[in-house]
Amino acid sequence: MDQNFWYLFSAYTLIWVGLFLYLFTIAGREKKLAEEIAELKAAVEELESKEEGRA
Amino acid sequence: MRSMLAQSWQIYRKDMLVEFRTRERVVTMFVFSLIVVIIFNFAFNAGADVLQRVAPGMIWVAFAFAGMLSASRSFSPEKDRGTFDGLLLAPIDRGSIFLGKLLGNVTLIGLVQLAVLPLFVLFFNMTILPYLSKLLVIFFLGTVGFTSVATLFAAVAVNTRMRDVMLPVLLLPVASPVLIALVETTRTTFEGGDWQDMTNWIRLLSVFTVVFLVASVMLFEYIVEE
Amino acid sequence: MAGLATRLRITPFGLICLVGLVASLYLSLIWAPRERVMGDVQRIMYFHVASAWIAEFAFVLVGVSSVIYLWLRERRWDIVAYSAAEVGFVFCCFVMITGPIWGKPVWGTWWTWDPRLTFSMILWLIYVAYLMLRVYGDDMPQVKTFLAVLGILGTIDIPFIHFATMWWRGLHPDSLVMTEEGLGAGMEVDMRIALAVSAVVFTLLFFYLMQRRMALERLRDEAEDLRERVEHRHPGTVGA
Repeated sequence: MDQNFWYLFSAYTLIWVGLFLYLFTIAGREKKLAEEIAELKAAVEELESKEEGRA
Repeated sequence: MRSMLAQSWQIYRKDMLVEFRTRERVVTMFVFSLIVVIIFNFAFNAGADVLQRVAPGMIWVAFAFAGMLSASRSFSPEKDRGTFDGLLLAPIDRGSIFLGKLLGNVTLIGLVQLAVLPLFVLFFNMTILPYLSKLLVIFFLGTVGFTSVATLFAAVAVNTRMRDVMLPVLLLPVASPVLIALVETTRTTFEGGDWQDMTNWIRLLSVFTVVFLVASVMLFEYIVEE
Repeated sequence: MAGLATRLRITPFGLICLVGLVASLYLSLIWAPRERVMGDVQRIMYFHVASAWIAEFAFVLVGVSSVIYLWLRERRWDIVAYSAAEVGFVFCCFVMITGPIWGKPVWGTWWTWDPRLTFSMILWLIYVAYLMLRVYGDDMPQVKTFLAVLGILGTIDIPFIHFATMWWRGLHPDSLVMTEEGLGAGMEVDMRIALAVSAVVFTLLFFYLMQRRMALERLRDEAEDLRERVEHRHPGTVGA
């Protein structure tokens, strides 16, 4: 085997790992935001219904 | 066009008058450049031949940082005292505010260069007299090009929280082609090279200066709008 | 695998990119012929050059969408510019990582100031400046305009950086290695095919990541909007 194999191997591995790490961070941020949006929507609805009740 | 130049002249005169009263920018830039030269000397601790090889690089590092000082100080006091808003309210073209500021920065950096360059030559034991005309062209082109970008980014950086850190981060990568060209042409000149030895670089310097000058004047309007 | 796909919310388009990536892996690691001088390590080139292409292409996209943003003042063009900058930065990092890994066995040193490496380095710094201004200027109302200005100037700067780094090193023998093997005439047909495929796959991948990143930014706007609505109706409840 070529003694430079490890250079080739690490270059490709780093790209793949980097790519998936980036995807994971995007997915993670997406998930957090989706949860927050759900919470906020509930809060808005609650506030709106309260206001209607008052009116 | 003529009125724009006249307006820039007014801005320029105002800035120079303020500067003439305190002389704070010129003095700080001069002292700063001098310190850079001395520190570089310690950093390399090398013989005269090596120092002469790295001298063009040192010169431009010193002037680039001095230029950033000047550009930054052309906005930050106005911003802090709130006079910049007054300037924006004046019924003049925004581009002419930029041109006036740029002209002021070029003048001050030019003055500092005039003062520091002889000292450089003295410290590093170099010859300058036969190359004066070439250096004049190179320094003029490069300083105008570099300072246009510096002035524009200073107007951006002055609005950020970390203004002193942001200016070099924004400016130096974008200005790197002009800095490379300046160091190369200055080195070629000091090594006794002719115009033919640096045609490409002179072309790059000229095109960079024209393109970034025009772009900066156009984009400044967007930067200062509310 | 399916679990991972749902966890990462990989869309059909994303799956196509994944298949393309595997195919280009096969083409560049097994199918393409072994380079005579450099040996197998030259195979880094297929992903390295493709990443470099994306890094440059992405910044031009930042510049173009910045011009449109300054012109139309629509948030979506700012989103395009931001997403292109972030994804382009990721690819620029790939270039900066794989460049030295390729350089070490071929040149005997991790880093030389070769024109292409220097070019990528400066481009990387411009990306860093752009993203730093994004993050640290988040509280400024005019930050989007500033970013657009930086995006435009950076894009105009690309040809200047290109020529400056090229002339700076002259035609150094070191750079000939890169030039010839990177894009040059010395490449065999199969190598060119493998390179073309990985460039196309990386372009698809770039647009997939862009799409994901833009969706994320729109979610953030939506959250911001909702937060304001709640705050407006009932001051002092959110963030307490």
